[in-house]
Amino acid sequence: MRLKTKFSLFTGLLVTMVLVAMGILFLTFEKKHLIEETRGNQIALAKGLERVSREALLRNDDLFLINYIKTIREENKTVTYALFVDDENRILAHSNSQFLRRVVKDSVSTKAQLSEDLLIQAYRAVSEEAEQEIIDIALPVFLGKERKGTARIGFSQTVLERVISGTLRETGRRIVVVALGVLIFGLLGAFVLAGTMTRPIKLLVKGAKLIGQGRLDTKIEVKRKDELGWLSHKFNQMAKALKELEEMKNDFVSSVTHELRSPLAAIESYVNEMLEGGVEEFAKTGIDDLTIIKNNAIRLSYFINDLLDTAKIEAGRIEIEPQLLDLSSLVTDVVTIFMPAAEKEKIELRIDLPIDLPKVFADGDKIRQVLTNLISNGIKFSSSGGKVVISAEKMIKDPEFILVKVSDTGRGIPPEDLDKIFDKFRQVKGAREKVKGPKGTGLGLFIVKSIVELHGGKIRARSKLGEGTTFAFTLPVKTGKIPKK
Amino acid sequence: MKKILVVDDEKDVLNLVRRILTRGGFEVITALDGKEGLAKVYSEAPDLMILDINMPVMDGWEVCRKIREDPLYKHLPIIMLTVRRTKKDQLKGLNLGGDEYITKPFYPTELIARVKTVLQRASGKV
Repeated sequence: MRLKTKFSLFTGLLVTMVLVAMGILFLTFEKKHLIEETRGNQIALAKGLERVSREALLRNDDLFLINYIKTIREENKTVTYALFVDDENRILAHSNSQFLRRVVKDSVSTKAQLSEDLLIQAYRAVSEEAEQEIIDIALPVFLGKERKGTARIGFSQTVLERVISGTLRETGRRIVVVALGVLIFGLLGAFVLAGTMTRPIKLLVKGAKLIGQGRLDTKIEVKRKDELGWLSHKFNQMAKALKELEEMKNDFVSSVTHELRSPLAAIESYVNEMLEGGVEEFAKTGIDDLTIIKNNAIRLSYFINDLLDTAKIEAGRIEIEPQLLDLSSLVTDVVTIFMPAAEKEKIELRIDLPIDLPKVFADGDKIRQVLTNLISNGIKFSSSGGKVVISAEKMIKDPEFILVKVSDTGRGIPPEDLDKIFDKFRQVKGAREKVKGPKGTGLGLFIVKSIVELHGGKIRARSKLGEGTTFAFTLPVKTGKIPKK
Repeated sequence: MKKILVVDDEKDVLNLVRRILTRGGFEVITALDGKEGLAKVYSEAPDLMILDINMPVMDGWEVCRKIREDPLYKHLPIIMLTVRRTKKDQLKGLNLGGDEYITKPFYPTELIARVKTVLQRASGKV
């Protein structure tokens, strides 16, 4: 069943239930109220009769009383009888003139006669027409302190109930009419409301379907300021993130393809040249060509190592074998390797380490990898005449670590990209287009960060556009600082 | 002597192509990215251009498009030399106005032969 239908039905049911409950409650109270009101009226009528009886006794005017009784009888359909009995049980006035002067001695009358105060009695009376319940209300009539008789009115409960239930039926009918109106409006409202709720959901479903089919440009146009609006907004964000991921993946695949093919193509082309050139040509250029082939093979293997390292890091299978190391000799080693490249690009490579630098507790091969990556980046992104400085210092805040810095005078990294550079497969877009030669896959800094963190250290980049970038990372000087897995 | 402009950001490839073409009797000038290559088309007026596609600053597609839109140089013969070897890329290269599409790795003899064919075709056209 659709949400809209469910919602409408549920609301309809709810409205109906509330209306029914309210109707029953209202009718019950109305009935109670009607009965109480009637009883009040009945007593007031009896009191009136008592007053008039006294008046008639004082004036000695029976007719006055008889007329009054007639009026009561005529004006109130529930009055079965009204009478006045003197203290000798003789009827002095009666709504039915047949009973005048008769002596009454049934049990209801006797009780009424004996009562000193208002007395309400109920009894069943059988007449020619039907058996009915009678409520008899009796009041003693006094003249001074002397009891002169009893005024009594009999009300037919059966007739009364008929009147009351007639009234209630009428009220009930009105309630039903109103309730039906309310119900129709309620259902209509529920339907409309359900529509406004389900429309954005339908749009969401449609959007989700499109996104599921890979159409990541899909934008769900639900501009509401409620949960559905928020959901749509989140949905759009998700689609955007997916699209970015997709683009990143494509970017990665194409750059990996290119980086794998370029050195391979160079190797094969040079091999072709050597094979076609023959011995004579080989004598002239053979050694140079072999060097180029070797360098391209090295480049290829570095690249494959990066890919494998990343895969290992991803799988959590990379391990370090730390030992106490002299950082100075390690830095000197790495820098020496880069010297020819730096000289060629006219970039100054400087080591700036204090003499009293403590030994670090680290994996030599991995730290070499970190330094190699950072220094080669520094050279790659600096223009000729620039400078790459490798420095280190003890940390004052945390003496158990030292701080190593690699700074360059390159073009710098835009602030909005600074937090992204350590993400895998991510190379700042502009950078890819500005660098000549091998571009890398954007894996280097991800690997660097992972290695530093495996040592329990942290890495941070600080950069100013046009002035250069500094990578600073910490390494532990003591054992026991490396987090256990 | 015909003048050939070689544009490639891979220095090893650039040097090899230069050597092969020089040996083949051509004058060779080089550029390391698309923008530099385009500038050398205007300043050196080469007879043919060998163009890589994946390059920094401006890629080969863009260079090709710009040259074909230029009324003065639109007839400059262009040979694409790239590691991109899909049919889609080949078609794109030819559709953009490339005269030949050679994939890396390449053979020196093949390169020379293609350069000569394209130059002949071009001189016949003009």
